[in-house]
Amino acid sequence: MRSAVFDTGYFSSHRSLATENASLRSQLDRSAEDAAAYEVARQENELLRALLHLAQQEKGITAPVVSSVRSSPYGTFLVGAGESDGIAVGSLVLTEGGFVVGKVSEVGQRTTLVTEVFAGGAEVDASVNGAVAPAEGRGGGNARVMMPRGIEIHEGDVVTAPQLGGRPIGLVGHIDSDTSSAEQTVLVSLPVNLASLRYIYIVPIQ
Amino acid sequence: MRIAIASVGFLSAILGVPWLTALCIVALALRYRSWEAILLGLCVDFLWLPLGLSMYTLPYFTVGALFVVWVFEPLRMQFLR
Repeated sequence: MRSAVFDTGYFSSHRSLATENASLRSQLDRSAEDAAAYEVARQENELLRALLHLAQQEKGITAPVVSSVRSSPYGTFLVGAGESDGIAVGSLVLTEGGFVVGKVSEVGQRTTLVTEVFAGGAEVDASVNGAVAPAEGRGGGNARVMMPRGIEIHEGDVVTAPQLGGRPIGLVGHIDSDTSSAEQTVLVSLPVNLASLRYIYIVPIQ
Repeated sequence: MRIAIASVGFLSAILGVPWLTALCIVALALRYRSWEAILLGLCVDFLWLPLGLSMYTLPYFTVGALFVVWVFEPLRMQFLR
C-alpha cells in the first residue's frame, strides 16, 4: 500500500530529487574540502620555496615550528627537529628572509628548544651603519639599542650581529633622539611576525 | 573544581599563554593547600626555560609558585577553613 502511494507519480519524483540533492551537496562538501587541502598544500609549498634560496647559500636544516611563541614566558619555542637531524646547541635559527630569530639552546632527540635573540632581558651586540652597541631584548622580536647620537641612523636600516656571523637580526623601526642626551634610542624589530612562523632554517654556528 | 583549575593550568602551560598558567597557580594556592600549584610552576620551567642559569633564565615560575603557596598559607587558614 505504501509503495503504491509513495513510489508513483509526484512522490517518487520528489524523493528522487531529494536523494539527488543530498548526493550533490555531499559532492560539493567533498570538493570544498579538496580545494581547502589544495590551498594548504600550496601555501606550504610557497613557504618551503622561500626557504630554498637559504638552503642554496649555506648548509642547514629546514624544520617546522611546533609550539606557539606566545606559550613561553622566556622567549623560547620548540621546533620539530633534533639530534637525529644533526642539530647542535648554539646553531643559528633563521627566517626565510635570512634574519636570525634565535639560537638553539637545548636539543632533544626529535625536538629542539630555541631561545629568541630578542628574548626579554637577553643582550646581543648589534651593528648599525658601522656602530656597535648592545641590543636589549624586549620579547616579541623587538629590542632597544642605545647608540651614540652622532651616528646617522634611519628607519629601515638593517641591524646585524657581529657575533652571529654578521647576519641580520632586525630592522630599525623607530629612533628617539634628544639633543640633551649623548645617546639616541633605536628600537629594532624583526620584519616577521613570530606568531606566524611555520618553518625556520637552522645553520650550524661557525 | 580543583582538578578543573589544575587541568586548565597544565593545558595553558603547554598550549596557552603564561598569564593564564599564573592565574591558575594563584587560584589553586588561594583556595587549596595545593601541591599542583608548585607542579604547574615546575612544568612551565621544564618546558620553556633554556638550560644555563643566568639573570635572564632564572626559574621564575617555580620560585613564584613556591612564593605564592607560602604567602597564601596564613590567608587560607584564616578565612577559608
